[in-house]
Amino acid sequence: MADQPDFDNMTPEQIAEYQKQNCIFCKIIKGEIPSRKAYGDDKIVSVLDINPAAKGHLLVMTKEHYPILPLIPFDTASHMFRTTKGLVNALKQAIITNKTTVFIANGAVAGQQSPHFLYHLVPRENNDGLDNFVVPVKDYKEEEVLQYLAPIRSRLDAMMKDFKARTGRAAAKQAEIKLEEAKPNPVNSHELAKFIEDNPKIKDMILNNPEDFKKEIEANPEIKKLFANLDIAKLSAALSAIKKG
Amino acid sequence: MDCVVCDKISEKKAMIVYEDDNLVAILPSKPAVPGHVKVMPKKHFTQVDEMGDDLVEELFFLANFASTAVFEIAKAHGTNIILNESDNHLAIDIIPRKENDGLNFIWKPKQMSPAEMDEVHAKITDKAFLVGRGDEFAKSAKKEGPKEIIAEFEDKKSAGETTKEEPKDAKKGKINYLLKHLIKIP
Repeated sequence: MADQPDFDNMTPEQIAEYQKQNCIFCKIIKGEIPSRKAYGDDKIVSVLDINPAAKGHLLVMTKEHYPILPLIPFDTASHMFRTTKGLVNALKQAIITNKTTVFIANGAVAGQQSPHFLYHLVPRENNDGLDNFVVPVKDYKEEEVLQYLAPIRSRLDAMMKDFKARTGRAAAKQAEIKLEEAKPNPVNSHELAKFIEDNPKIKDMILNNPEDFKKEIEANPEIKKLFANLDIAKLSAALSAIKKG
Repeated sequence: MDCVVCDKISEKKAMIVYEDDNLVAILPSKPAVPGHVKVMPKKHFTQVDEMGDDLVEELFFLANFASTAVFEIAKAHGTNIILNESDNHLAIDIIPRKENDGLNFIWKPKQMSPAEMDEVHAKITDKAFLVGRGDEFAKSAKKEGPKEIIAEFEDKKSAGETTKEEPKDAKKGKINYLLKHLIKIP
């Protein structure tokens, strides 16, 4: 490029703006540069990679220019992720394969080759020679790995909590839990009847001395669990009605 | 079905960094680099297109968040997010990257003639109607031919520029490194 501006004296945001104005992929999306389009909707576009790793290698990008994945707004990212499933399915059927690789690079050091965020969707076959996609397995000292456990855990918990609040999925879950708590007695009446039949002393107490039984309940946590939220006077009346037959 | 991953998830025999009803994220015991995170659905899936739309979305968001988290925490210069479908329990690897870390995931491009490219292009546009817009759309997809979707795309391609969202101040410092290093791209 002959008239490349002086990047050293520009802020990263100015550089990003320059790159947006000169973005090849924005031009592809606008149709100013020809490409082989595979799919497009209001938020994302997919084209065939002109330097493919395999036959059918697709680039999937947002229509709007975002330099990296973390800068893509929530709704667009959500749509892009959900659409990945359909793209994988369509690609498998078109290429007649049953495996794909999804590859994302954030940053030049990771292999990001364009200032417009995109991900690669590559059809795979057995022994296709694309061994670079294999994630290596290496030995490190346990403490080298473990140092990241606590900080990653707390960050992921916070981010997923936020995600669930946004999608309303956490709210649904909490409502379920509240419903569980609201159930008055976890013991069903069948279990309760069996317990009473198996314990003649308790049956006798309920029948003849309901007030004493109430005291017994308070004193014994196991029994309290079974008879929680029950009206003992009514239970006593019901039992004597059954006894009378 | 016997699956080592399913066993480990149910026995919690792993360095778990996130867990909910559907998903789990772990630090693999033999990572590519320290800070390497693996995210996966708890239920045994091997293919992306076997999962429900919500699960796919949640899984990729978790991968995206893990990428942001390790980028900051491992003081990385970039991250890779890689999903290789296989016959094993589906997982996404998130790998923090630094200059000269000895890793390279980039493939050697295949040489393909324009005719070959056109042929594969035709095959894919033929199936593009399958992409759809979610679980429900798949059912009605057959009515809509591939050409209409492409036509719709052609119509929209010139439609309005939306305003660019400015990155939030809090994010700026963290992303500057990534933005700055994108200028290395020719």
